[in-house]
Amino acid sequence: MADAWEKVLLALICLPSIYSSIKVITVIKPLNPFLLIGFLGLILMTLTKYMTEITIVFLYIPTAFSFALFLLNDPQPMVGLATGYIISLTIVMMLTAFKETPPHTYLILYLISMMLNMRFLASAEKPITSDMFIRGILHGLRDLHGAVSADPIFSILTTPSIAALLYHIFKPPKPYMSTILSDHKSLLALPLSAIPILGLTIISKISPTLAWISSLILALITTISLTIYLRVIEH
Amino acid sequence: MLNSRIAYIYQVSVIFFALSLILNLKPIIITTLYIMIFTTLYVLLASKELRGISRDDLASVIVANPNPAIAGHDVRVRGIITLRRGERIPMEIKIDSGDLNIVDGSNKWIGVLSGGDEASIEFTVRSDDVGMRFVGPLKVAIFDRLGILVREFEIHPKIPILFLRSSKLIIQPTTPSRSKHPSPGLSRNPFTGLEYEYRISVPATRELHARKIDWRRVARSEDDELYVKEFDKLRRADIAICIGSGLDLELPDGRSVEAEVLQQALRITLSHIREGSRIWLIKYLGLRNFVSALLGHGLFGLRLIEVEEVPASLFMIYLTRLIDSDEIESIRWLMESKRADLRAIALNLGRELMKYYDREHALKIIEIEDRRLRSEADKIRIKYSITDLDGLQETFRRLLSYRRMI
Repeated sequence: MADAWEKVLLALICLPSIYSSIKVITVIKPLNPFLLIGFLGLILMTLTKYMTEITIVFLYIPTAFSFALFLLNDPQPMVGLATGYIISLTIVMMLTAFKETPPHTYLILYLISMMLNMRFLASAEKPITSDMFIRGILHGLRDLHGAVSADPIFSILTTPSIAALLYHIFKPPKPYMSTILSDHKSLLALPLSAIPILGLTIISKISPTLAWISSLILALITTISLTIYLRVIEH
Repeated sequence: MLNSRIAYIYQVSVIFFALSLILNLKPIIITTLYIMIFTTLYVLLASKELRGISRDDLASVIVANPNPAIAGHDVRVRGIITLRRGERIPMEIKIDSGDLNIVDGSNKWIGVLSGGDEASIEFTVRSDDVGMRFVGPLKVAIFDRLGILVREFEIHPKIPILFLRSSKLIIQPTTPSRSKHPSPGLSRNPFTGLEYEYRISVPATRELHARKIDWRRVARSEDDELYVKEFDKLRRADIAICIGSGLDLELPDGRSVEAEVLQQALRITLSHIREGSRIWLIKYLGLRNFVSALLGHGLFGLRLIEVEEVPASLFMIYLTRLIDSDEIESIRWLMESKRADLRAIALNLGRELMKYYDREHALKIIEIEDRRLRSEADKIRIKYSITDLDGLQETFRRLLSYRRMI
């Protein structure tokens, strides 16, 4: 039961990554079969915990084959394979780090994968080739917000993903402790915390600059009040 | 305070929030800000419950057995913590093992403790070195139900464990004493006083007849004990043996200075002081920081009883090399605030060098060390003796018997 619940959590966390990966694969023209092999191969290898047969079929054979073609002056299979690996990276990161990684490290990986997802979505605005995609990724993380704002599906999928992430990173280290869904204080704090975020989202529709300033002020107030409370009032 | 796990999450959120604010990455701004607000609100809501718990809600006991122990042998440490409040609290309990090696068991307990229940920690420690070692303090970390907040208490101080080189001093056959004192006596002679002096006064017969006793020299106490009048006053008072700085040295032949000093001091003290007198062992740890223990007598020999603070108004023999710069001030503090009748024995270890280096060189070192010890001891303005390891027993004996310096 616990295992099935963890799988659901993991699936929810990976939702934005799955969406952005699929979206970017659909816009890459021409679609290279090596790209699909690279993308699925890495994910399958992670899910099957590096099963020998899967590793041979999806890693060694395509790599050897694409390398041979590369030597025969056909670099496209190798570029496709590399593109597939890059696209699957955001999902693979979440899958591999789910169990053993400390919560703060998992949060870092999640936020990095979110940044990459935004880069993918920015690249997926118009049809591109594998080469252009890789060049675009290497170009950096600038001008991403426009692409994400314009993609409502990504925003919708992000909400359950963040909820699952919160459940996972705030999961108590010991089984006798409560979870954020079973403790009444956290159940109260969860919707209360959503109110200012909702307010910020509404403000951002009216004035993005005001929303930017408001979020900065809100973060400062939150951090300062937490520090004062823990350092002064608690002692 | 925040649990380190959550503090890291908060730090990561703040860093990524700042980064995403610069790059204007809205989903990351929202994610990180939500985590920050949730953590803050949860802390405000949950901390009230934790604040209500105080040190007084927890009772604790730590027992080390055997104590004193033999270096290289096992000592079983047991800690029991009881919660007096009537609710279930997640907590982590730890007894610091200090510089002792844990050979069996665990010094941690993690779980939920209900009101009236007790948590028990049992582990075995060992020390290869001789001297006073410590276990503790006993620390308790209390968590909220989600493990986000943590409150830490130190509910039981360090307890000393005395490690000796051999069991000779520990397993000392005794006869039950009739003394009213809490420590039932350390001499195997059922009568009070030194055995040697007692033999001078009392005829060597198995059955003591009142007629054969020299009543000019011997008296009978309220408890119907015979004692030698002459030595009664000298040996009646309790005594504290204080181990000062600079003794945690190892000599080239592998002997530890602290071990030698402790063995010699205890050997002389145990055979010289009057029954019923109590021996405190005190160790200097730093500026005005002393740990003390009472050397008592259990069913199977000596045992060390934990004492919370240095007792006042004691006759104190302070063994030191006066290495620590704060030690003089600490000795003054002992004399003033604890009203200790203090005699210092400053150890000059220069003579030990004679066994390993040429005589002329060693003598020069002895002289320099002697001058240093005198100049340091003069600053305290107390009675002191300077001696070496070979002369320590005699110095100690005279100090105990006659409170006379040599």
